[in-house]
Amino acid sequence: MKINFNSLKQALPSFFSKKGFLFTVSAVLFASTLIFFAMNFAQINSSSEYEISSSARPLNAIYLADNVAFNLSKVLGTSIDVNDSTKQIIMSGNLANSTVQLTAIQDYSSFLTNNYFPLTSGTESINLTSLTDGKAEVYFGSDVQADYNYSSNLIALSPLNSSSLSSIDLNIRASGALSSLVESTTGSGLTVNINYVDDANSFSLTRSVSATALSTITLVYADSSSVLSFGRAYSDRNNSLILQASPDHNTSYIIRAIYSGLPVLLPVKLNGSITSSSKDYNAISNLILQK
Amino acid sequence: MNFNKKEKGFVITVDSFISVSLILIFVLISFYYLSNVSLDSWNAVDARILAFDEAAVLEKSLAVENSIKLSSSELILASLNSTPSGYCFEATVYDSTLSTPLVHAIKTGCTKNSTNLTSVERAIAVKQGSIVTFYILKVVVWGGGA
Repeated sequence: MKINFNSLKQALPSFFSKKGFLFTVSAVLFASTLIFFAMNFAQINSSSEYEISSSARPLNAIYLADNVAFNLSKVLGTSIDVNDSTKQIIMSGNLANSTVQLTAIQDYSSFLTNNYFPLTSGTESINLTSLTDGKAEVYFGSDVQADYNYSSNLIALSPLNSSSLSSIDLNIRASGALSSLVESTTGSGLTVNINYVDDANSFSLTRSVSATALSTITLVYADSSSVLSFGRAYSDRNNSLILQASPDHNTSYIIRAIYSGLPVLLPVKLNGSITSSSKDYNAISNLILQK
Repeated sequence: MNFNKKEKGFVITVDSFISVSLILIFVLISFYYLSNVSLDSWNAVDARILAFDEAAVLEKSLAVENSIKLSSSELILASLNSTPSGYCFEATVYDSTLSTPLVHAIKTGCTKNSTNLTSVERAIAVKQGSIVTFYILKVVVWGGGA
């Protein structure tokens, strides 16, 4: 069928042929689009309110894990600071006796379960069995491990792979009075600086010992002794360090260990986990002391 | 002819009046819908994050621990006063059962008269010698403050 456009033009009212008509139609279309978008935005916003509020709920798990990790470092009495660029670990704390430490961890677990978790949204539980076995493990990235064995007043720092120690600074503050010092050191390569203070004595010494053979320095008191071990000292691992304090002498320490090579020292994790769950998420979080 | 010119002017004036009115109506309708958009959910999320952050700052800066030891709210207040303007904060340290308030501080210039409050709790452990004591810190946030 052939359409005669000329006759169609004549049949249409005259204003249809005006340029203004096209302009008006475009303006109306534009304004309608504006209304359409405004309506849609309002509708989507109201329907997504639940998603907005529920999207923030997993924050609870992160917040809770951060809170518990910080609390546990207080309960254990340890302070940790890692400088990943200089490959340096600084740890400080007090080697308390096992009964006090175990009771504190159990009290904390009970406080969380009975008093704190009921206040938080969702369902939470904490697994601290790995800390109540007499030993608390701290992992520095994937390369170094610190064991705080509170049942035997011992703190040990050891690499998990071939990372090597280049120097150790050890500051010790002990109660009582030192009687004598017994050294059994071998080799060289690992620099050890010791600063010791007790109620009656103080000394500083620097030694270069082997990182692959056992060297010991024994602090002898009248009733017992504390032993510092370096090199192949802990779990048959080279480049390790042990401070085993006398149970009769309250001993606080600051360890600064500098590693060579490229060990990954972050994040710093405590051997424990916290489980959080709610309608919107299930999370098992590590207890991270430093990121 | 003059008549034709006048007629054209009249049509243009009416046409523009109608189009401006139409656009105004459309814009007003759009504003009506946009005014119904509620930002309460986003504000609640922001307030919750702020409360989380402030509670963590109060604990990790040892402001809470020292405030408990000194029985003074000064350190907590100093921290609350450094929070972003536009939000009010209140911090209260309770004993481990949340029954007895021990230290309380509210940001300077704020009064707690809002109904839109967001609160978070944080567990606090304070070690003195070999004894560890537990507390609960409650931080409340609301908008429109100093």
